[in-house]
Amino acid sequence: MTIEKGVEIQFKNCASLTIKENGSLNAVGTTSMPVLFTGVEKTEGYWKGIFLSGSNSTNNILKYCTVEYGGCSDYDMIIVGDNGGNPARLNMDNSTIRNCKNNGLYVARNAYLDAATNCTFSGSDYPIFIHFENPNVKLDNTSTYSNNANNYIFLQGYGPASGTISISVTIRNAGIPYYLEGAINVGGNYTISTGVTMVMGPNSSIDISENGNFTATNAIFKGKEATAGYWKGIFMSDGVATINGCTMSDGGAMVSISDDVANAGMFYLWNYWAQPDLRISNTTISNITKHGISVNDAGGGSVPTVSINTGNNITPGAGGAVVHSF
Amino acid sequence: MKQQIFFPALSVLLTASLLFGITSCGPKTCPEDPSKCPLNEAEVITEFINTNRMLTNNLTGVDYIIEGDIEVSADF
Repeated sequence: MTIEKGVEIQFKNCASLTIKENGSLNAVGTTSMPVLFTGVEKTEGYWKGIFLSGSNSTNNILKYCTVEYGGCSDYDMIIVGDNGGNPARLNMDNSTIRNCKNNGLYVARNAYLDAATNCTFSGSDYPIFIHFENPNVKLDNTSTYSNNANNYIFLQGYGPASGTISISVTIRNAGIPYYLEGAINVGGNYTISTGVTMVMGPNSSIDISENGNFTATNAIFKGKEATAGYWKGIFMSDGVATINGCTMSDGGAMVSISDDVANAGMFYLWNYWAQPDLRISNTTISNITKHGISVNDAGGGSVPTVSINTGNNITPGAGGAVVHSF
Repeated sequence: MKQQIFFPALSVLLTASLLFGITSCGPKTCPEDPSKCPLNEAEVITEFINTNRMLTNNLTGVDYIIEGDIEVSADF
C-alpha cells in the first residue's frame, strides 16, 4: 500500500490497518504535506492502530507521518510484530506518534526497527516498548519524548518466552531512559552504550552466565524509586562484566539463594561451577542494602576474578565495599 | 382528485427547499464547493485484501475512512 503525501485517513471506531507478510506500507509525506492517520473522533483509544504483521519489507516506511488516537482493544499505536517467526520491519523518520491509549510503538522480540529518526512520541503510555533480547532495534537520540504517562522506553526483561541470550545486543542511547522490568539474561555480548540511563524496576536484575560478556560504559543504573534494594543488582555465575564510568544506585539485594540476605550485593559473584570475572573502574555505587561487591567463592568453580581498578567510589550499606563470603 | 394530490407534493417541495437550500440563490453544496463536502465524501474502505493500491490525496480534507479491520496482503 502506497500513501501519497498529504493524504488524511480517518479510522472508525476500533478500526485498524494490518499489513500482512506479502504486503507493505509506504507512507511518505513532506513537511508541508504530511500523511495523517487519525480517528474519526479525536479520542485516545478510538481506533486500534497500524499492525505490521510479518511484513519484513524494506518498503515499510513512515516519513513525515502522524499517527494518533489509537489504542482500541489494547492495541499499541504502531505494532511491529513477529507473526509466527516472520518478523516485521519498519523504518520511520520525521514522524509523530501521539495520544495513544496504550504504547506508542511496540517492537516484538525478533522484529526490526531499522530507524526512528527525528520522531516525536507524546501523549501515550510508554512511547516505545521493546524486548531486551532484540538486537534489531536501531534507536538514536534524535527523537523527542514528552507528556507520556511513563516517559521511558520500556525494556521487557526475561519472561516465559525469553531466556538467556547468546546473540549480540546493544542498548543504544535514545535520549530517554530505559525502564527494565524483569531480568536481562546475558549469555552473549550485551552492551549498554555511553549515555544510557537504565531505570530498574522492582526486583529487576542483570544475570550474566556462561559465555556472557556484559559491558557498560558511562551509563547510569538506578531504581525507579530511590530505595536501597529496590532492584536486585548484577549476578554473575560465569562470563565477564566490564563496568567503566558508571553510576549505580538503589540496588544491592542480589543474593544467590533467597535467604542469603546477609551477603547481598550490588554485584554478586558465585563460582558455583565456573569462574565469573568482574572488571570495574571509575564507577560509583551508592544507596545499597549491604555490600558493593559480594563474592561467594565456596562453589565448585575457580575463585571468581574481581579486578577493582582505579576511580571507584563504593559506599556500602550495612556491609563492606568488597567482601568474600563462605 | 388533482387538488388532493397537488397540495401534499407542494408541501414536500417547499420543505425540501427550506431544509437543503435547493434554490437558485441558495448556498453552494458539495461538490460545487469542495469545502462544503461532508465527511462521508471521503472514500470508505471496508475491505482491502490481496491487492495493492495507492491512496491519493484527492480531497481537501479527509481522503479515506477505514471501516473495520483492513488487511493489506499483497504488493505488485
